[in-house]
Amino acid sequence: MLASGLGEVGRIGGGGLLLSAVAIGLLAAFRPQGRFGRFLARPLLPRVPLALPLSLLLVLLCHFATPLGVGAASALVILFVLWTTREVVAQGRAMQRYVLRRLIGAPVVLFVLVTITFFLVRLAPGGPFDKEKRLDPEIQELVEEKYGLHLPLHEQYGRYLRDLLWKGDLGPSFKHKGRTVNDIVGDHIGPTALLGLCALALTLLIGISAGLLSGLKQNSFYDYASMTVAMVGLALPTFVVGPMLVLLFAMKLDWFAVSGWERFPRDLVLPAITLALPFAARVARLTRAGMLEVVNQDYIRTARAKGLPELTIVLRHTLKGTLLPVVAFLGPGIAVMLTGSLVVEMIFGVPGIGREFVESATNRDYPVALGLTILFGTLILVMNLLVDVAYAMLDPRIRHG
Amino acid sequence: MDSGPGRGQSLWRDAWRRLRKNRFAMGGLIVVGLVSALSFFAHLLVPFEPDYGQPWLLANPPGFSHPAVLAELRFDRGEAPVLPASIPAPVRRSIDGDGTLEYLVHEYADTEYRLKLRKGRVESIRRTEGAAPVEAIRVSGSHEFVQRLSSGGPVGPEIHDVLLEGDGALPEGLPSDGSILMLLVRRPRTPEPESIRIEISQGKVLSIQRGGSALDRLRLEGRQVLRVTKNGREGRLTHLLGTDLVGRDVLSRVLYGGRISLAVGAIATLVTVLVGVVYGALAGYLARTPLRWGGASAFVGAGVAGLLLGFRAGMAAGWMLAYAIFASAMLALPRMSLPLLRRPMTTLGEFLMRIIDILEAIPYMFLVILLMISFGRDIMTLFIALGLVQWLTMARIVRGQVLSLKEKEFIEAAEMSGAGHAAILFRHLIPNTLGVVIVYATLTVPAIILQESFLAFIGLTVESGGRTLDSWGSLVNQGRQSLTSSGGNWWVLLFPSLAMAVTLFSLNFLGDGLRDALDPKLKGRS
Repeated sequence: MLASGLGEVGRIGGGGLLLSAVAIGLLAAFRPQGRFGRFLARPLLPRVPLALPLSLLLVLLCHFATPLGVGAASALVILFVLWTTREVVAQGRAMQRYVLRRLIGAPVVLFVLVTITFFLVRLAPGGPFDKEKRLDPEIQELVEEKYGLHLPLHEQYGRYLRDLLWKGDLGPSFKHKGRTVNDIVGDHIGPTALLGLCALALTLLIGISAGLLSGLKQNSFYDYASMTVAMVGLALPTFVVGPMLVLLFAMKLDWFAVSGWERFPRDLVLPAITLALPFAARVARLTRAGMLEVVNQDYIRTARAKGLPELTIVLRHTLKGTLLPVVAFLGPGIAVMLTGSLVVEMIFGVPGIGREFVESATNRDYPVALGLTILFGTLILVMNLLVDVAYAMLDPRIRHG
Repeated sequence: MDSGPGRGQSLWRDAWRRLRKNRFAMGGLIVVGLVSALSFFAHLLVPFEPDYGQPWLLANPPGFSHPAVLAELRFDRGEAPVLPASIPAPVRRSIDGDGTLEYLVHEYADTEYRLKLRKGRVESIRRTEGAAPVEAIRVSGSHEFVQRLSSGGPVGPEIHDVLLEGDGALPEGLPSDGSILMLLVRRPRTPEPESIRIEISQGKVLSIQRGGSALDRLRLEGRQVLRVTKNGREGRLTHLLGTDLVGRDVLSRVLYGGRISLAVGAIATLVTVLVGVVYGALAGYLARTPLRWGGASAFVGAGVAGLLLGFRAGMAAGWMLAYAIFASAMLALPRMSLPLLRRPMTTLGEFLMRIIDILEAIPYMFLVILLMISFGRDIMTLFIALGLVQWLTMARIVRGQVLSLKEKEFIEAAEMSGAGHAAILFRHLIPNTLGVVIVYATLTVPAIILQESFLAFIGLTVESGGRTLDSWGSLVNQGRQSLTSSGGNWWVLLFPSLAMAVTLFSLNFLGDGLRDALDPKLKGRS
C-alpha cells in the first residue's frame, strides 16, 4: 500500500525532495555563514545515536495513521541526506573521494547482482513452465510470448534491465495471474517495514543500554547475566527461538496469538522480539567491548577529574567512541535482519515481503524470487552505503586508511 | 609463556596446552565429539530408520512404548513370514527364528467424520464416506478419538468422553476458528480382545490358532495388536524421545538429521577452505605483481564466458574450459604488442580483492535460495552454493596472513635458495597460515550448519537421488507445524531444536577457544 499509494507522484516528489536536500546540503557546506550553513553547523553528531531509536519509535506510532508515518519517515531520510551532504563536503577531500568511490561502487555491485541473478534464473536447466503439466504447444507459445520468453536470452536481459531502470518495473508474476512483482511488493512491504523498524528500535534500545550497563559494571552479576543471555541470543538461530517463544508464550501461557497480524501492539511483540534478539545480543556485546576500551582513555579521566557527573560522562563522552563498532555492524546487520525476517514472517504469519519470497521460492515463481532478490539486494546496498558514510564521518581513520 | 628454557615447544603443542585449560572450549570439544559420534553411529544405536513410520501410532510423548509389530503382518501356513527389507530390529527378532508367537488383538472399526466449525461451534457433521449427515458423535472412554485438520496439519491428542453435536459447543483442545476438521473415531468391534498363537519351526509357519480354530493364513494390522509375546517374552518398542505425527521415532530422526547437518557443515567448510585458502594466498602473494589491462579483460571475459558456458554445458565442463581459456589468455595477452593492453592497471592482488569486494556486497542468502530453486535441491548444488557464500571471508583472512608472512626472513631465504613460486606458496606460505585457517574453519562449520538448516526450514530441503534428506532445520520446521493450538506434541519441536542449539553452542565455544589458543593476542575480541 505504501509503494502503490505513492505511485508516480511519490516517486517524482520524493526524488525532487531528495535532490533539493542534496542541494541545500551543498549550499550549507560552501557557504557556512549563510542561513543553511548556520542551521546545519550545530553539532548533531552526538545526538544521532540517541535520536535514531526515538525517531524510529515515532515512525512506529505514526504507522496507524499511514500518511503521518510516511511523512515522518521521509522527513528523517531528508534530514539525514541534508546533513550527510553538508558533512561530506565540509570534511574535505579525503571524505569526498571516499564517498564518491562508494557512490560509484554501489551501482556496479547492483549491476553485477542483477546480471548474476537474472542469468541464474533464466539459464537454469528447464524453463519456468516445464515443471507444470504438459501444455499445448500453442498455449505454450502464447504463454512464452506473453512473458517475452520466446526472445533470445540477451534480448530478454536487455528488456529486463531497461524496464528496471526506466520504469522500476520488475516484471509480471508467473503464479499470481495478472499481478506484477511491483504489485506484490507494494502490497506486502508495509508489514515487513513495520516489523523491521520495530526490531531495529528494540535492538538499539535493549542492545545499547544492556551493553552500556555491562561495560560500566564490568564483572558484576549483571554483566555476567546479560552477556550469557547475549551468548544464547547469538548462538540460537531465529527459527529455533521463534517456535520456542510461540510454544511458551502463545500456546502454554496464552499471552499472545499463535500467529496472525491483526491486533497491533499484541501481534507485533513476539515477531519483533524474535527478530531483534540476535542483533540486540550482538549490539550489546559490541557496546560492552567499546565501553571497556573507551573507559580507560585519558579524555575520560580528564572528564572525571573535571568533576562532571557520571551521566554526562557516559552520554556525552564515552558514547561516541563506544558506538563506532555498533554503527559499523548496522550495515551487515541489515542484511542478516532481512534474511531473518523471511523466517520470522513465516513463523508468525506476517503478511510481509519475506513470506512472499519464501512462497515464490517454493512455488518456483521465478520472476517474483528474482525481483525480490534484487529489491533486497538494493536495500542492503543502500543501507550499507549509508552506514559506511556515517561510519567514515564518525571515524576519520576509515577515509584516510 | 611458561615454556622452560631449552625445551622448545611447537606451536601446536603450545596451543593444545592452552586449549586444555579452557574449560568451555574443552566442553565444546567433548559435546561436538559426542554429537558427531552419536549421529555417525546412529544406525547402531537406534533400531529405527528415520523414515520408518508407523502411522497408526501418531504423535506420542517421550518414553512411549508399544507392541513390536509392523503396519501389516502376513502369515501363511507352510511358508516363511514375509518381511519388508527395513524393519526395526526388535520386530525382526520377534518374528524371525523358531518358537511360539502370541498376539493379543482387538478389532477396530474406523469412521471418519467431517466437521465444519464456525465461531467455536460445530456447524455440521457428516460422515466422509457417502457424505451422510450425522446428528451427533458420542465418544466415550473406551473409544479412541483421533483429531486431524483437513489441511494435513496437526493430528491432535486423543480426547475421551466428549459429545459433538450439530450446533453444539466445541470441547477443549479443538481449534475454534472457522476450519474444517476431519475426525477419525475408532471403536472396538468386539468387546474382548482375542488371542492368536502362531507356531514357527525351521523358519516356516507350522500352525495358526485363533480362538480355538486353526487358520491357513492370517493378516494382522499393527494397530490391532495390544500385546505380542514370543516364547513368553513380551516384545515392545520404546521411543525414547517419542514419535512424530506419522509415528516416526524422534530420536532416530534427530540423530540421522544430525548426520546430514554435520556432514553438510563439514563438506561445505572443506570447499570453503580449499577455495578460500588458494584464492587468498594468491591474492596475498601477487600483491605487488602488476596487472595489465589485457590480463584484466581476459579475466573478466573468461569469467563471463565461463558462466555462460557453464550454464549451457553442465557446470564443471564449462568452467574448466573457461579457465583454460582464461589461463592461456593471461599468458598470451600481456605479451601481445598492443600498447593499451600492456598498460598496467593495478596489481593482481588488488584486482583479486576488488572482485571479493564486489561479491561480498551481494546478499548471499537470497542468491543461494535462487540457486536452489533454479538448479534443484541436489546436495551438490547446496555444497557449491554454501561454499560460495563463505569462502570470501576465508580468502580475506588468508591474504592478510600471507601479506605479513611474505616479508619474513624465511621466505627471503627460500627465494635465495631458488625455490619456485609454487614451492614458496604451497611449501612455505600456506602451511604457516594453517592455524588461522583451522580457527576460522571451526567457526565456519556452525555458520554453514545454520545456513543449511535455514534453507531446510523454509522448505528447501536437500535431496540426494530423489530422496529428501531431513536435516535439523527441516525437523524443527516439522516440529513447529505439528504443534497443536494448546502446545501439544512439543517433543517433536523441542528435541531437534535442543540438539541443534547444543551443537551450535559447542562449536562456537570450541572455535573461540581455538582462536584464543592459537592466537592469544586476539583473546577477548568478539
